[in-house]
Amino acid sequence: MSALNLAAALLLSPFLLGVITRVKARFAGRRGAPLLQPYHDLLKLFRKGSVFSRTTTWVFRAGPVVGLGTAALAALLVPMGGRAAFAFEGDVFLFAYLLALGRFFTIAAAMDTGSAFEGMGAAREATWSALAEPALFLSLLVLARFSGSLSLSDMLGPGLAAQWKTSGASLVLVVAALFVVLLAENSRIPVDDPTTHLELTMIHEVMVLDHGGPALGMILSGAAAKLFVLGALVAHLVAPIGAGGLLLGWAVFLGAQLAIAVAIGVVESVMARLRLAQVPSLLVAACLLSAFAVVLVAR
Amino acid sequence: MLLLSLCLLLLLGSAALALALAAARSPAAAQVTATAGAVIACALGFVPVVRSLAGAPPESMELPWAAPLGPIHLGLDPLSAFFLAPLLVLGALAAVYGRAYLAHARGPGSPAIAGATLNALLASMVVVVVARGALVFLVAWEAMTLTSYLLVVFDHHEEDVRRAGWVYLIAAHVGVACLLAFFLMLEPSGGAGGLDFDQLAAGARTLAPGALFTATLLAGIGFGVKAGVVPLHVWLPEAHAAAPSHVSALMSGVLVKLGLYGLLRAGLLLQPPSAWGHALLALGVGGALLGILLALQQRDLKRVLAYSTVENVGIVLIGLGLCTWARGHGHPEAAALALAGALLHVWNHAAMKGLMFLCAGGVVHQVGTRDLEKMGGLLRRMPATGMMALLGAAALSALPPLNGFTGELLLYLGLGKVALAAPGWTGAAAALGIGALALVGGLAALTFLRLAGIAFLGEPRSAEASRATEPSNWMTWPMVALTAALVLGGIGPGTVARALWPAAAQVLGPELATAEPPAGLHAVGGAALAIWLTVALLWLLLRVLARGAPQLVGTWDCGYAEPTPRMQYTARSFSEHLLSRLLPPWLRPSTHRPSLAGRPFPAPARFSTESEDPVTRRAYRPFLASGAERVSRIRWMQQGLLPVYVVYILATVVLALGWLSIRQWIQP
Repeated sequence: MSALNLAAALLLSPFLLGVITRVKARFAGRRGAPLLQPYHDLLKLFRKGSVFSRTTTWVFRAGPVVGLGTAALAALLVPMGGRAAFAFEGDVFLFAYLLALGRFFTIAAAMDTGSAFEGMGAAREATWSALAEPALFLSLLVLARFSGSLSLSDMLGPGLAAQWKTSGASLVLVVAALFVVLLAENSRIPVDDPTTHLELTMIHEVMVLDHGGPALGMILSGAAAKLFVLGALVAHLVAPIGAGGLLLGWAVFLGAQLAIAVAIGVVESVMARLRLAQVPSLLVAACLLSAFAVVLVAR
Repeated sequence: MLLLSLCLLLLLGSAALALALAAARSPAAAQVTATAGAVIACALGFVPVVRSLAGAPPESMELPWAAPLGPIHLGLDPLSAFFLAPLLVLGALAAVYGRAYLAHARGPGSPAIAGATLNALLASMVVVVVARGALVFLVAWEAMTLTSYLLVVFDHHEEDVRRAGWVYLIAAHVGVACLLAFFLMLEPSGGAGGLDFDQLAAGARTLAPGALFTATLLAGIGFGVKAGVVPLHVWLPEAHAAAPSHVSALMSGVLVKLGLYGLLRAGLLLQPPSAWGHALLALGVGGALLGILLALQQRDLKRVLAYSTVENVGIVLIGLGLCTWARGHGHPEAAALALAGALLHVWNHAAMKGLMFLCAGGVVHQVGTRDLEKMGGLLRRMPATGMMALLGAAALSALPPLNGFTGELLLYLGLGKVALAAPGWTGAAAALGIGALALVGGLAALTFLRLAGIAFLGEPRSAEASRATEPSNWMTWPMVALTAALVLGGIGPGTVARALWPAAAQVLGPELATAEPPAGLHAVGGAALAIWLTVALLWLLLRVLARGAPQLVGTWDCGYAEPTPRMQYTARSFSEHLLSRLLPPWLRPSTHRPSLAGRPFPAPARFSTESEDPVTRRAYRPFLASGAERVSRIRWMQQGLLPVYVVYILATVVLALGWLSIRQWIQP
């Protein structure tokens, strides 16, 4: 079970990146890169040599390593098509803080280069993620309140389908808040533009400017796994599986993940990136949505 | 109790011997005496502490004393042992570190006398924790304040340090005045007049509700000042920044926590109604948020750490408040989780903040400034200190696999239990409390990335920083010990929680004490191990993939050919967005802009920002300024002549005796 989850998060996740790129290309009227292009990119990066800045220390290498490692471990705590590989009371907090650990070292690695641009990206990422944190916690708490448990596997378990019928309103709020968190945490439009050519406007991409070769490969792979893991939360939420075997569960789960990737692609195609000063408003709005959902549920 | 008495005697004896040696002009011998005395005494004292935490029955000891308020009563129960454990460990480490740290002190302060004072401080803190009577408690409390004041003003040739010392002394005495009133209120009326805690507890039960409210408030203020509870925290950042770093570590790790010990002890005496839980919760959330937002603004390395102590005390208060509330509303499980989380966080914070202040001391020692903007690149120059500081920063951001996460996990679980079960707005309030704690965690990560990133990563921003080297081994080893505590506390939180369970059981009372540490804690310990293993594995993988030595070049910096260290992001710019755009104006640092208009020719101009505590600026300063006016009218009482002061004391005693005899005459 754990091997399956891990393999899905690490091996299937680059495909989602390919899907997003393809959707965006179609919206722009192009044919777009092959769906498997991210795999080629990763293989190419892993075959390259390493170039490091003279300023850097072990922290620079710890960024990619911890980022990928925490995303992989988080994959073991998230239910995928059934219960998670590991579930216990309170795993939801460990899940959130695992992602925070990965972010901590990604940011530290950026600051390790001493580059002004990377310092800028680091400051922005640290600020935005502090604001996104309450939104993530509060929306998960709504689910916890429904299931009466603080374990992700119960929160996203079979009971969710019935909840949609009785308290759809608060679940819609939760989906909206979690989707904003998903976009923000994965550096997507409207918070960040992964394809921009101007370093001044970047957040995540500018933090990894100095990374190359296998280290950059690990960063890409970790980012993809993070997208998959956070996407899994939303996937279970929008496509709850009442009962059914493992096969059906996985089919529904992967279908929902694909749908989320398409949705991200659509959002990226039809929206412009927000001005930096407006990003906090979006994140605070997500916090308020989830807080509203909490109040609705606890009423 | 025998070993603990030996520990006390050894601390005081070595302090006296060190003072004598210092007076005999052999400072080196005095320092060694003080340090050795502290280490041996702490080791001796640790034995009964471990025994008590392992479940040994409480011990107590009475020494006859001719004072009117009964014998000296000392005791060791799990709650005392819980606070003694970090006190003795951090005390020994600080003593070892301090000897090396002060060896090159440039000011007029004498390192030998500082060593002796440190031992006296340790002794008074031990007595505070084991005192079982109000009189001994208050005397030790005052001794603790005075000895720590002497250590805070070690660098008294600097004006800032003297000022910080004054603020500390005044705040501490406001607190002790409240405590004096608190203990006297509890004195059982018409009884034997004893001030033993048992008698005080009996006295508290006879108090009218109004008097009980006043007593609780007085205890809250008196202990809250020491604990740095917002808005009584203003002395804390001043004193922590001014003190020598090992003293800051001891104050932040232990002395401030004794305020929390006082709150817990007072809670046992008063058994306050659960409505106080709301007040504690609100103070906790407010303090945690304010503390971390102010920490984010500081340029001074040690002030960042000091304000983070205010934040962490807030986090502990959230746990205490939730516990008080939950036990009165039929959520025993949540109460146990919240209390265990608060206590676990006390231990964790002692290790984390102790480590960070010791690291900061190493940096200050080498770079010669506390200004973050003059540091940078220290990780390459001080690899061991830098690595430990980075781990400490991650732990203070409550990140697994380190110990900082474990206490907060229990708090999250406690809040979560209430959020899931409680109906109506209570559940919503607990849920929003989780949101607030998450926000504090995110802001803490921002704060400590700023601290570690600006000080230790990148290129040095000053010549002093580029010349820094690792401090001496005597300073490094205490840090290594604390780092080990961070790592092991992260891997084995279940074991740590079991060690503090007797203390939690004592506070909760026998009816709630059956709960065991939750299974989630063990799972998190396993997860910590998994994180370390995964990281090690991927590190090897990166090594293998890299195939040979990497090519070394300059930082790319978007093709700019001549980067200078001044182009790096600064501490100010790192937190700029949050501070200047998202905070309400009264929380922002104030800026002083030069006025350039109306000048025909360019002239030198200075732009500066200053982060002053908003509570000082908005509340205390206006209040104290108007008070100072009035107080200056009795200035004539201050004569500076010893005989005059003796007359004051005599007059006070005569008046007090007169009042007593009049009272006996009225109601025989």
